[in-house]
Amino acid sequence: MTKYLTAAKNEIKLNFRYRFNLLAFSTGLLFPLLGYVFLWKTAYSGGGRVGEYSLNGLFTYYFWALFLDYTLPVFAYGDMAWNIKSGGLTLFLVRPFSFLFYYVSIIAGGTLVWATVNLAVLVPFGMVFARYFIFPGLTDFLVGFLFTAIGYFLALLLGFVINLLAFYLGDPSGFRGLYGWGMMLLGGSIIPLDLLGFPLDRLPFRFLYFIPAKAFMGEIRGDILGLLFEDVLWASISLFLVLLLWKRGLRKYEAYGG
Amino acid sequence: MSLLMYVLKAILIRFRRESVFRGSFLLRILGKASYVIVYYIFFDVIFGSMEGIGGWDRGSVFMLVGTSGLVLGLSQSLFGRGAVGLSELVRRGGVEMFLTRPLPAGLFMLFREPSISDLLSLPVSLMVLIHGMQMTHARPPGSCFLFVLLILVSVTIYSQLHLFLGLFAFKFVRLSAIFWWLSDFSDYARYPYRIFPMAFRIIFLYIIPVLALSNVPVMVYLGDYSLVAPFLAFPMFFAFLLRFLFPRALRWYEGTGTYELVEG
Repeated sequence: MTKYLTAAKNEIKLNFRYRFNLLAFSTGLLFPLLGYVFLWKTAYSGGGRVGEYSLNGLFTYYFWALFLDYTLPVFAYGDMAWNIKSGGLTLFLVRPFSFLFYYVSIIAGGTLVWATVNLAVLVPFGMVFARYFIFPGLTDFLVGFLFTAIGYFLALLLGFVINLLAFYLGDPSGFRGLYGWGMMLLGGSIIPLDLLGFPLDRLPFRFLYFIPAKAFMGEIRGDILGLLFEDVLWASISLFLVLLLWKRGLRKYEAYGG
Repeated sequence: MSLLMYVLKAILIRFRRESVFRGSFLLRILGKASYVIVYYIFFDVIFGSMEGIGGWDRGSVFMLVGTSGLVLGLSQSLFGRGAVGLSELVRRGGVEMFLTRPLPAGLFMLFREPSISDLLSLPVSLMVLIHGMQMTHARPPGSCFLFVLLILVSVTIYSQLHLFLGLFAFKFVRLSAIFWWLSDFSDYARYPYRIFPMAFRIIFLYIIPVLALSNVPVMVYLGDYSLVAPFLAFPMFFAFLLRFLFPRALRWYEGTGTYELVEG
């Protein structure tokens, strides 16, 4: 276990090694958020309204959804696919070191840094626009945090699935763009999923951004346990898929490259 | 002329390289087109509940989405990778490779790595643009010709912006973050400029003119010529600036680092 903790610590140090890039990465979250704020402000100033959302509701929704979008590891790390494609996986296989756990640990380290940095940028931003922000109550915050934690594992496992496809496709990188935009649309970081309607608001990807954001807003009432069960179920299915792809993939692995 | 031949040859070579993994190549094209599709859906949902945003109706906003997709997609196809890789080129000491060849070094570095998947995703942007044009019913005389011309001006301005920022890599070496910012700012091109407060309009229309890249061609097509003059001044201003700065920026270059082959 110590070796994986060391890997996570190293990843944290590595992120802070290029501090300017880290700062640039964090401010990257502000630009799309500002774009949405100006767009919706103008749209609502004309007297329009989308769905049941007030301007404050939309602002708060995007605040949480974009925070999650920039923090959850939906792509895992592209190195995973690269290691499989180039033969670098062999270096893991000949050591007493789990390839999957190694990436779980370094992505956890990376996520800790991204979450901290994103919050450090978002909190002052939220204070500037405080008149639009709906603050969560303690219960809503805890429920939101719980959905975020499960959403984190779901995102991580989906990212693993994409990378492990390298065993079968050779180069899964072409799928990343489509997958990325798909996650943003179907996860709910582009537009709240209840505005897209059925069936897009019923897919498992809604547990990445939409459900946690709505939970922080206190807009999930009644069926919280049912949603939690469904969330855990999808995460378990993804885990099963990851283990299946890994086990079968290792049999196909030819360790060419170097 | 030799640069044009080089770019065409580079496109052919790149096509062979990118299409080695055919399935991945096709998915990559779809992924590149997703930007436009996703924002088409986004604005379609908004206009399901509203008539207009800041005086822009559904058709003109779809035109903006299509135009921004065309300009950014065309730019990405021709010099996206080359621009982002400038600072790595300086860091690795690989600039000499471009200085010692009989082509304008700055443009050679910029256009060295075209992206075919971006190029082949352009028809989707074109479809959204045509759909928007059909909705606006606007047909001012000569508007289509002017529109195409202004798209080319937009691509020129965007390439000059990248090259201008790339010059700072000669001094500060690792600067890929600046290109991330430019890419984030460029996403504003899909919005009508009127949604932004005055300070943002001044910055993104006249200083880093990413809003103008899509807004000006669409406005001209719709018969509004108010922003054309400053827009046309940009390429001339940047051409002068780059001609002046490029040789000076090269003096900062130290040629350190080790040239190595990296995964493209």
